[in-house]
Amino acid sequence: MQKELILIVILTLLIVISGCIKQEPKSIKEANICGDNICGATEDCNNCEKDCKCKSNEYCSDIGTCRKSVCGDETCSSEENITQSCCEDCGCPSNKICNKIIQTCQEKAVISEEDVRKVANDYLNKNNINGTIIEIIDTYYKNETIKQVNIDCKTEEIPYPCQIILYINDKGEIVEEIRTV
Amino acid sequence: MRMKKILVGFMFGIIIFTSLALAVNLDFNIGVEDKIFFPNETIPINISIINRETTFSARNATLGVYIGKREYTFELGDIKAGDSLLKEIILPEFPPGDYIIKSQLNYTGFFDERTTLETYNSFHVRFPEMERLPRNIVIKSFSIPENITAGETYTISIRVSNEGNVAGDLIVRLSSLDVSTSKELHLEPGNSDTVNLNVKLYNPGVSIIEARVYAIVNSIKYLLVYDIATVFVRESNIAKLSLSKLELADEPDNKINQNDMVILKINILNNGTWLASKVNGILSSSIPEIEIIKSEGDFGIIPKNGFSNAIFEIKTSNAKIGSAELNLDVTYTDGLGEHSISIQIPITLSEGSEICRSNNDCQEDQICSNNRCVVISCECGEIVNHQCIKYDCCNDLDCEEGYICSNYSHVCEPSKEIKADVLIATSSKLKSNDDYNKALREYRETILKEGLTSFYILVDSQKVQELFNIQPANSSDWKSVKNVLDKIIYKVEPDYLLIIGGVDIIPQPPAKTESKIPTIPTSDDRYTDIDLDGIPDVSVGRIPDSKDNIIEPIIKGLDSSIKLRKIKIFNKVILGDICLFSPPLCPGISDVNLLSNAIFDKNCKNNEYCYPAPPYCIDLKCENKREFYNYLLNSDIINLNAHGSPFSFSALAADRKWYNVLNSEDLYKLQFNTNPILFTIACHGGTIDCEEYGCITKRGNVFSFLNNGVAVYIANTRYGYGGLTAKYLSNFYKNIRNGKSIGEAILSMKKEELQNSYTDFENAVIYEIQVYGDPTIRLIGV
Repeated sequence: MQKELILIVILTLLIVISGCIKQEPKSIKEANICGDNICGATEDCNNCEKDCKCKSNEYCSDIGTCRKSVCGDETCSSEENITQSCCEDCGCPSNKICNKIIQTCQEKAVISEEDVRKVANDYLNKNNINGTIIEIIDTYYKNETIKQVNIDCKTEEIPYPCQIILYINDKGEIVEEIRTV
Repeated sequence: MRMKKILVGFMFGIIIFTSLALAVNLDFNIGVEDKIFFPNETIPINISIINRETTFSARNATLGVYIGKREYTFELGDIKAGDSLLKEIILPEFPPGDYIIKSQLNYTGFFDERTTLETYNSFHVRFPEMERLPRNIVIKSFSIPENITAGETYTISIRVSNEGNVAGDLIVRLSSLDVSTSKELHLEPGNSDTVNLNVKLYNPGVSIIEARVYAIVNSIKYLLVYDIATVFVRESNIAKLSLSKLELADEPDNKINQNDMVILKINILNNGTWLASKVNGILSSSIPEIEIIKSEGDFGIIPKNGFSNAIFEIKTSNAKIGSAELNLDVTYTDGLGEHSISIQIPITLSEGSEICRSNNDCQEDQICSNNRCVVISCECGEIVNHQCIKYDCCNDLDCEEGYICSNYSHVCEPSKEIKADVLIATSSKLKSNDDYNKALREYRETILKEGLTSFYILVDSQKVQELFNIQPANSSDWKSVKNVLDKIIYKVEPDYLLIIGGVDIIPQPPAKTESKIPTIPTSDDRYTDIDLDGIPDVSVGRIPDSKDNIIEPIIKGLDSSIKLRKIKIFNKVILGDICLFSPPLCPGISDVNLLSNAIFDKNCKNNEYCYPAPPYCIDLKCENKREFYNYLLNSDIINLNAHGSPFSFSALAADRKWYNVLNSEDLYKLQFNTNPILFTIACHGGTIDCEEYGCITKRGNVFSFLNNGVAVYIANTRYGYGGLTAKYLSNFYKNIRNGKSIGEAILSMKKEELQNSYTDFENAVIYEIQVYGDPTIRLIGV
């Protein structure tokens, strides 16, 4: 009877002592305890909001990162839609282009394709360049809309690419010319 | 006046009273056995001193015992309050007669006053009852030379006379602290004789010499008479100690090696004219690599013109080869008293470790290899019994990703958070090998020394799920890769992203632009635009392998980035087409000047390091081909301005002919003597994707440069544009000169230019500039 009692006491002590010994985590997952106020590696705002709560101006993304709604993030937020403050995400009607500098849908530059070609060809003749107009694009330049003319200036004697970009405004003026190296 | 006298008297009284009150209360007695002594007996006396005080000590007590001509003095030291001192003194034989013992105790009391206590006793010595004992032996003279010099031999004469009636067999003896010598003598009644004894006295100062005459009866000596003379022994010469020789004990090679345990036997010579006694030495070293294991040595007495040795032990640990000195502080006593001197002990340290036969002959941290003790290299472990027991880990790089090495247990433990300065990303498609793993490890260790921690991840591995709770990426789909990188960058918060591998390993995404130059450029900036605002947020670089899946450019790129870090003085050069298209108008000169000013603070024309092609190019038509190679292959910073493709660089000369600045074949064979940073404005200089030229082989610019020694190559994935690309690269270089790392300099330039861009087209030209190589390199002093 006495021996059994001693055995019980020893076993009880062992249990108490083993409970006091700190068990070191063996894996990352074990080291990440939700609720310890540390947003560990495996924790995020989706699986442990307690430790990884997003700020008030952020939302929790699908992958568990806290994001701010940013113009350019390819998502037209309701605010952007209402305020029409981000044409890059919310798009423009087909007759307008998105000026990403001011994030506004703007009317295309008012100048005919014929006039644009004339200005471009005059430029090529004046500079003695053999070039072919490849395309005329409606785009923006600073706060305004403009025509971008892409000219291929590659010739047989030139084994390397040659491209000239002309920006022509609705007054028929070349506001900038850029040339490949 | 009367009052004053009273006051003085009162004060004096107080002092006397206090003195008496504070005098140490000592019991001082001398005891001698109450019996009759005979002249063949020594006389024991007992001195008893009891300090009955409870507070005061009797300090510096000395005891004087005076019996006839004989005087004895003893130093007793302090007799503390309550202490008792019992001392037995054995007096020598005395001739027959009555003797009074006078004892004097001197000590220092509470007021530092010297107090003397006296006590007396007596004893009686008588002749034994035997007829043959001569009774009237007299010392008639006892002459000692006036000038006695210590250490020299002198003859002392004692004239003895038998004035009694009995003949006697006598012994005449001289005794002092230094000497005890005697001669036998037979004297008939009425006769006298002189005995001459040669003596040497060593102790300088006052010395007492006693002449004794004993009678021998039945082999027993009976003291009949004695006489005492006090002499002054002059100091003679002093002892002169110096190093005689140094011997190495138990040294198989008889050398003190760089790593050694050596027993030194130091011999000291006394070439003075006096013996040195109580010679002790303390060995010390001012050299940190030489440790004194046994520092104290006892040389004992070193006689004049003699030598003595003592043993010391030293331990050397990577000590510098060549001559060194140890210091031996020696204390000794000679004729002049106590001295201390320093003796320099010159030693010679030899290369290597001591000869050994087994590990046991070596220190704990050494092993015996080819009979030499060799220090065990054990940076990451603990040496036990001549073996390096490796730790599980020494730094985080030894642990699996996501685990850190405990500084205490040296065991890898899971990390709660994963943070790193450099995120290194690749995919499982990379055909890694041991060389790659070694190069990567070395690179990570190098940047760690600069304070940059790194984290390495395969974006399509299960580790992504385990560590970051996100599905592994489809490494063929840039959007899937970006999704994973977004999450990892969000958690790890790196300053740099280093992509390892070509487009087959990690795709190079299309830049966030609609502008085609001539197609939408590819750009790794897409991966680092975390908030999706079109502006990259983290510095990015890529070390790609080619379509051929040849991993060498990656290994070389990592290696080169380590080597470039070691350069302190940079050789800079501008090469290539200066005019760009239309000589003699040279529209491109403004671009080149922009770069020349950024790099050299002067235009190309005035720049002795600006070499135009032609004539500086590799084409057969190029006149300065050799010089071109020299500048290209031996510079540390190279700005190459030319027309380009993914495989070559060319220049258009004034004769409207094209010159190869570098063609595919040469590019592939180039071997840089340096590990330069090379940047170019050329079209397609940095194309690695498959869209425009098909998939780029190992002969492409990017792979050839990296494989041949270039550490960082910065180039366009699509067309480069006059006016724009040169401006961006010159601003990049200005950032480098302002102390930014390559990645920071590009990122900073791009952020600024994107924010100030007028058109989407400009954005495309900014995005297409790519860093191939390590973005963390910082070039100080360019």
